[in-house]
Formats: sequence, structure tokens, C-alpha cells
Amino acid sequence: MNFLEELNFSEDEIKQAENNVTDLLIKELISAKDLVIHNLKFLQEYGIDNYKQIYINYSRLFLMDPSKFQKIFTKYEKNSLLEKLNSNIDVVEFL
Amino acid sequence: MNIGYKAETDLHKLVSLTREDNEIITEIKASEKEAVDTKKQAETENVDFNARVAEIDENVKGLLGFNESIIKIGKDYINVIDTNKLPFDMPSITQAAKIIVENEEAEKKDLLNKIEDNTKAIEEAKNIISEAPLRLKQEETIRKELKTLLDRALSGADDVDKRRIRETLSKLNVFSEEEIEAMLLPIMFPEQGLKAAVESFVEKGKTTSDMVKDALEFGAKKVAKKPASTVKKTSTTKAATKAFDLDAHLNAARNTKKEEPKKSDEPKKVVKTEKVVKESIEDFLKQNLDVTDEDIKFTPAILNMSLGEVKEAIKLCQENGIDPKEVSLKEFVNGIKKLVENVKTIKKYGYEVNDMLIAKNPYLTVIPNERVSNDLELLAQRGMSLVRYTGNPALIVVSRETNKLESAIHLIETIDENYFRIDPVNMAKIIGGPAARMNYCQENGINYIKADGTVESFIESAKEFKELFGIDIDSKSLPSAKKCNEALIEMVENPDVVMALSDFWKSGKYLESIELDQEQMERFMKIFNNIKAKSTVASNSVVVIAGKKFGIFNIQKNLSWLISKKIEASDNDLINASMWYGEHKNPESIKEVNIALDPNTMSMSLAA
Repeated sequence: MNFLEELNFSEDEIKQAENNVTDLLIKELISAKDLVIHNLKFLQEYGIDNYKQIYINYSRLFLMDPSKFQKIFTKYEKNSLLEKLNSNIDVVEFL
Repeated sequence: MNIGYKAETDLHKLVSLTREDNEIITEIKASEKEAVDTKKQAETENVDFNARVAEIDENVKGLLGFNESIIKIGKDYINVIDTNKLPFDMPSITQAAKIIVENEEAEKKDLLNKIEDNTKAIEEAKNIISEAPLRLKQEETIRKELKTLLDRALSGADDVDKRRIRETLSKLNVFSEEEIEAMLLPIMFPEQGLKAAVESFVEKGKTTSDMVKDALEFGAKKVAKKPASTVKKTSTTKAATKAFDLDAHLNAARNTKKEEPKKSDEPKKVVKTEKVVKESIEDFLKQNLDVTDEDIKFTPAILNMSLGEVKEAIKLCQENGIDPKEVSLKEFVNGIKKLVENVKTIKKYGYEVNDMLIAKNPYLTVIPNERVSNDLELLAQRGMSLVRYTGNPALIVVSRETNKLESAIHLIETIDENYFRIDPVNMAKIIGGPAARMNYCQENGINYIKADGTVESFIESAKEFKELFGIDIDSKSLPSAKKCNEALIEMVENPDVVMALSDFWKSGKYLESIELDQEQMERFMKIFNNIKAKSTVASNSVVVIAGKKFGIFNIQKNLSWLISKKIEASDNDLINASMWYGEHKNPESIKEVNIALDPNTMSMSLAA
């Protein structure tokens, strides 16, 4: 998943992201890299600092349609969400 | 006496009306003949028109029936197969049918108007025809009376007075009262005008036609009206009555792209139709699935689906309790059937799969169902669950190849089975590195378990681990299972036991149940109980012998398989093969474990 380099992922972070998912998922993420990058950029622009950790642990979410992906985050009060996400990425599980 | 030009002209008219073939009578006869012809023509035409109307009714009825049928067939076809593979251009056919029906209805309306006009003309003609004999008789009577009047006037009879003249001329209904008054004296006194008019009529060669023409100008109101001329104008051509050729229309619709003469028009229609279909899919997705332009942009293949396919996919979702709005477009493209099939399989193993879970795992359509089924079967046999602390199953695990999942479980259960049990999502990971780091921590007394039971981040990150402990630990740090198997072959009396297990695990037969007869079962229990009895830790999942962990599941599987295959092997071979096959352990530790299991065996091994 070298395409993550353009979003400032380090080699170790890319390796972690790859190790965290199955071969099938890696293949899917690579084939949909434009969508993945688009969703990652949304998190960046939305102000979620630990977007890379979210990707490393929940990369499957980045295969979602942009509107559905964005809705996961925008349906909550932004500042409150950012605070929680930046302290614990596993909050994503409950969004 | 000068009676004036006007009176002289009127006298000429009057004289001409005394003839048997005067133009009034001639016109009545002509009107009658025309009425007869008109009636005949109108009646004939109405027969044709009515026949055509009946034909149109039949065509329209048939066409509407056909249209309904083709739409139904199209819908059924779309529901079952693929609208792009429809053997006909349904939009063109239905559009052609609509146009044809409209044309047919317009022609019918025109024909009904013509029939109505003809019916009126026929009635008028009938009146003319029926009245003609009476009128002729009346005109003949008037003509004779006029002739008598003028003859008597010319002969100088005394009974030709003003009253009689007015009465007779009034009956002609040709002249006005003023004109009649102007002619009274020239008739009463023929020398003052009548005689000259009669002579002039004969001598000057004025034709009867010339005379009557003038007379008719004044007596037009007496002339019978003509039948409606519209009858002639509404004649229909044979082409108009040509029967509707459905096959020809269908062929035209199918071949719009091929027909050269229509090249300039028809292809445009086809392009427009395709565009309309694509637009309607886009609109349909936006309206029914809350899809945005951005969503479509990243899954443009969705536009290659037909509206029917999309509707069918939505229907399939709904029938299986899945909210289609939560399903990403990529899943629609890959096939909702696969999603439904996998979700059903997952549910079959007791897991709850809700819409949000489906939304957050938009790859379920690309996992082979056999893999999903095998993975879940493997976990069920091992008594492992996919359910995370959130209450939701870690669906990503079922995307892992079953052999790799089995190997991961085998490895982790001999190091720290809680790594999978506390958070099943770890089963989807490549765990060689974390397992090696956990192993290193265990061997070096480093705590890597957090308060909540999960592992510290340095277990997941080789970089962080090195930063903390100054050593690179990855999957290569673990003893190789291959080397352990090679050492096992060297150690056992019958290497076939190792080969049999190699086949067992590679073939996937470990997912199947193994049948043992009574004798085999007794041997299995004897050997397994011997192994378990030597464990220093009481556990349902592992035995610990000489400080080494062995997974009970694998021992039982290996042992039962070897016994069921009736391979000629000693108990020691069965024990060693069952415990050590595929283990990531140092082969050097085999001897230590064997001594712990049976000191006599150890003695024999040393002696050997």
C-alpha cells in the first residue's frame, strides 16, 4: 500500500496497516486507492489528527462510499468527536 | 314606350321560363341526380370508413395488449437476467407502439368526422331526392300557368289582369315585387314589351341558357341546395386503409441502428434512449439510496448496471433484511447475491449482522462463500468466537484464507491464545511478528498485557519494540515449523506419520469430522490421556509439558487422524507426531518434552 506515502505514512505505518488486514483486504484497498485516499483526506481536512492510526486499525472503513464514510463522522458534534477520536481511535467502533 | 333595360331583361327571363326544359327544372333534375350520386358515394365511403374504424379498434386493442405484454416480458427479463442482454430494444418498441397507437387514434378520429359528414350529406341527399318529384311537378304546373298567362297575354285575352299576373309571377319565386310590378304593363299590353321580348328571344338568337342564367341569379333561392361537398374531399386512399403490420414495426424498432435510410434519425433516438436510461439510474440511485455524485464518481461501474439490476439488488437486500442505503455501491457492482449469501452464512453460525456492520465492512461481496463457511467452521470447532468487546463480530476475519487462519490460531495458542480471544479482530492480522515479540517478552519476563487484557502497542509495532528493547524481533525470530517437521521425520520410527499429517493439514481435511471405531477410540483415549496427565497446567485448550505449550485441539486432531488411517506406528510415534507437527518450536526441546512424558522413552532415545 505504497500509495499511503503521499499521505505521510511512514514505512513502519504502512507495514502495520498491511499486517493488520488479510490479503483480500489489501488487494481491495489497493484497487480502490483513489477512494481510500479521498476518504483519508476527508479525515485530514476534518481535523482528525490520528487519521493514520484510524486507517491502520480500521482500513476496511475506507472502502465505503464517501457519503457513507463522511456520515460516520459528521453525524456527531465535531469538537466532541475530535476530542474523543484523538484520545482513542477505537471510538470508531461505536460511531 | 320604353320599359327600361331592367324590365326588358326580366321579361326575357320570364319568357325563357316558359320552356319545358327551363333551367329551373333542369337544375332540379341535376340536383336530384347529384344527390343520388352523392348519397351513393357517401354510403360506399362510410362502409369503408366503418370497416377501417373497426380495423383500427382491433389494431389498437392488439397493440396495447402487445405493449403490456412486452413491458411485462421486459420487466420479468430484467428481474431475472440482465436488461443489457434483452434480445430486443424495449424502449424503442414501447415508444413505437405509443406512436402507432396515437396515429391510429388520430386516423380514427378523422374517419369518424368523415363518417359524420357523409351521414349528414346522405340525409340531405335523401331530402333532395325525395322532394325532387314534387318540386318538378310544382315547377311544371307553374311553368304551364306562366305559359298560359303569356300566351293569353300575347293573344290579347281580357282575363290577363294585374292580379293574375302578380299571382302567377309570384309563384315563380324568381322576381321581387318591384320587378313584378315593372313587368305588369308590358305583359298586359304585349306591344309595350312582352312581344318584343319573345321576338328578341327567338330572332336575336339568345340562348335559353343566357336567359335562364340571368333568371337564376334572381331565383337562386329556389334552386335546391347541393349536398355537402366535403364528402368528395374526405376520400381516403388505399394506403390509409392498409392493415397495421406489427412485425414490420417491431423489425423497424429492432433495426434502428442498422437501417441505412433512417441513419440520420434513428441512431440519435438510440443514443438518447441510452442516455435517458443512464440518467434514470443515476436519479434512481440518488432518490432511493441517497447516493451522491461523489459516490458514483468513485464507483462509476454502477452506471453500467441496468435499472432493473439495481432494482433487483435493492429488492434482494430488502428481502433479506438489509437496508440497501447502507450498502456501498461497490457491493452493488460486485453482486448483492454474494453479500446476501455471506451474511446468511455468518448468521447461520449465530452472529448478529446489522446494517451498520454491513456498511462498515464493504468487501463482503468479494469473499468466496466457501472461505466464509470454512473459517466459521474452523472457529466453531475450536470454540472460538468472532464477537469483539463491542458486541459485534469481527467480520474481517472471514476474509482470511482458512489455512492461514488455522496456522495463525495454531501458532498463537501455543504463545498467548488470549491475543485472539480478547480481540478476535487480531485473527485477521499477520501475527508472526506480534507472536515473536510476545514470545520474546515471555522468555524475558517483560509484561506486554495492558490492564484491559489487550496487548501493548510495542507488540504490534516492530519499530516501537526495537526503540524500547533495542532488538529487532519479527516473525523470523520464531523457530521454523518446517525445521521442526524435518526433525520430527528424523526422530520417528515411521516417517509416514509425518507425511500423513502433512496431507491432512494441507488438504483441509481437518475441517471434516474423523470417525473412530471402538478399538481406535480406546487407543486414542489412552494416548491422549497420557499426554494430558503430564501437563503441568490444567487447561481445556493447551497442555504444558516441560514448559512448552501445545494446543489440545491440534494434538487431538493429529492423533485421531493417524489412528483412523491405521498407520503402522508406535504410541511414541503417534505422540511425537501429534504434538510436534507444525510447531514453531526449537527441535532441541523435543527430547526434554519426551523425557517429561515418559522417562523410559527418554532412556531408549538416549540409548539409541
